[in-house]
Amino acid sequence: MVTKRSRAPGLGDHGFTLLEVLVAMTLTSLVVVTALWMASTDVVIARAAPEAVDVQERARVAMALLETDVAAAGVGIDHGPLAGSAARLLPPIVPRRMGLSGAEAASVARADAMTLIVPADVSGTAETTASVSGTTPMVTVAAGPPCPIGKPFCGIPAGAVVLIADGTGRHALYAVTDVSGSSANLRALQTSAPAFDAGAVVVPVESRTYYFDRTNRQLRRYDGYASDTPVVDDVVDVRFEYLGDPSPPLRPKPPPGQSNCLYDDDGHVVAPLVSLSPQGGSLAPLPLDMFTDGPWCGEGDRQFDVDLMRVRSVRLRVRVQATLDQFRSTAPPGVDFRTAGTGRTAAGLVPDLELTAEIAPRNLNLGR
Amino acid sequence: MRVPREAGSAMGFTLVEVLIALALLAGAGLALATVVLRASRDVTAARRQTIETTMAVERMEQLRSLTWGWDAASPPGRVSDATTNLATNVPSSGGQGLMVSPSDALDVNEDGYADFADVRGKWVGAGTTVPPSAVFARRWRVSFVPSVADALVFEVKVEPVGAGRSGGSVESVRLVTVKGRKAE
Repeated sequence: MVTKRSRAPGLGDHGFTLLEVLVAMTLTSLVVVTALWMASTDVVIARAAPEAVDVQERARVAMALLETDVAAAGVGIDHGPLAGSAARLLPPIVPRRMGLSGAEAASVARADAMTLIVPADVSGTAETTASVSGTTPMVTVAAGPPCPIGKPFCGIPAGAVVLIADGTGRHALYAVTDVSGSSANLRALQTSAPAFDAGAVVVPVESRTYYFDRTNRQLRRYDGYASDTPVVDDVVDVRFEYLGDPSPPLRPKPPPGQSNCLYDDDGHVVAPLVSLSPQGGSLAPLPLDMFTDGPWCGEGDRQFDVDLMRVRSVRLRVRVQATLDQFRSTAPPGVDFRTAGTGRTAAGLVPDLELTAEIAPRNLNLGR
Repeated sequence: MRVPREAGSAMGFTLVEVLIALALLAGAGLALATVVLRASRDVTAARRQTIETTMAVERMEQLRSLTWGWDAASPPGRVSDATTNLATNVPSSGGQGLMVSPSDALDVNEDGYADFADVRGKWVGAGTTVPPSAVFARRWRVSFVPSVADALVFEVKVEPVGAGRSGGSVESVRLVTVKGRKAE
C-alpha cells in the first residue's frame, strides 16, 4: 500500500495535474494504436505468406510432373523390324483414363484426363517367339543377342510393366508377374487384350494417367495397375489441349499383307482423313471430338482413334487455390479466385495461381 | 549521483524514460514489420519468377514444335516453318516461324519476336510497344549455330517490364537450346 511517507521527498501529495494526465493518455493511446495497427497488419501478412508459398509450391510441383512426363511420352524400340520410336505404332498420349481399374471407353475423350506411356527405368527390347493371347498369357521371347546374357526374359524383371505391340497398331500393357528362363507370366493391365502373332515387340514402359478429381479438388496420378494417388491438393482446374500435324496420319502402317484402320492388305489407304488448317505453318489445334469419331486402330481397351497419331504438342493448364477459406476473397468467383472464401483483408488474400505450358514431346517430334 | 529508488517506491518514470522506452519499442516493432514486409515481397517475387519460368518454357517448346526437318519426298529437301507467328495469343500465320531473328531480339522488342503478359501471365499484346498492363516481356532469338549447317539456337528471355519493375527484385529468366534438322 502506498502511503504519503513512502513517496520521494519533494513530490508532495498533490497528485497529477490535468495536463499531465492528458499528455500521458495521449502518448499511451498513440503508442497502443500504432502498435496494434502494425501488429494486426503484420500478423495478416505473416499468416498469408506461408499459404502463398504453398500455393506456388503446389502449382510448380504439378507442372513439373506433367511437363516431365509429357516431354518423355513414347518409348524406343531398340532393334528388330519395328525398331524406332513406338510413337509410329501407337499413340503414347491418350485423353482418357486407361488401366485395370476405372478405364474409360475408347470413345471417351476428356480435357481433364490424359494417359501417357513413358519409358521405364529398365530398358531392353524383346521379341515374342509365339503367339500371345488372353489377359494372363505366358510369353516366350527370343533369348539371343541383343538380350543380356544370363538374364531371364531378356533382362526384364518381375514387377515391370511391358508394352506388347505389332506393326498394325495393336498393342496392350501387361504387368510381369514372374519370369523363368526366356518366358514370363503376364497380367494384362486392361480387361480385354488383343491376340498377337509371333514377332511382336516387348518393351518395358510405365503408364501414367493424370486426371482431375473434381470432387476432391485433386490432381491425381494412376499407374494403370494398383497405385492411384493424389499428386496435388486444392486444384480447381486442369485442362489439356492438343495440337498436331495438319496432315492426315500415315501410321501405323502394317506389314505387307496385313491391314488396319488406315491401310488395306495391299498397302493402299482405305479412307483418306482430312487435312486441317494450321494455326501458322506447323501445327493445328485438335479438338477433343476429333478423337472420338474413328477410324479406330488397335483392339480391346487400348483401341484408339487414329487422329491421336497427329498429336505433336500438348498445352497444359493447372490452377491451384489457397487451402483455407480465410485466404480467399468473399467476392464472387472471378479472375483471382475460382472459389469464394471468407477473407476480407486485401493484405491477407492469396490469389489462385494458374500456370500454362505447352510441351512438345520429343518422341512425337522426330524429324520435325 | 542518482540515489537508487527504494524498493516498492511509487516515484514512477520520468517523461524522458517513457519516451526512450517508447522509441526502443517502436524500433523493435519497425524491425519486425520490415522483416514481415520483406518476406511478403519475396513471396510475390517468387510467384512472378514462377510465371516467368513457365512463360519461357512455353515459348521454347513452341519453337521446338515448329517444323524444321526433311521432306520425305524424293529427292528429300529441307522443310522449315517460316510463317508461324508465335507472338500472337494463339499461334497464327503471318509470322517469321524459325527465320533468323535480329541479333538484338533478346534485349529489344522486335516485331514477331516479343510479346507481353500481365501480372497473372496472361498474354496482353505483342510488338515493339509495351502495353500499359504488361508486367512481363518475353523475347526470343533464333540464330544459326556458327559453322554448323541446319542447327538452330533458340534463346528465350522473360523479364519484368513497366509495373513489373517496381516493388521487388524480380530477376529475368533465360533459356537456351539447340535444335538440329534431322530425318525421322
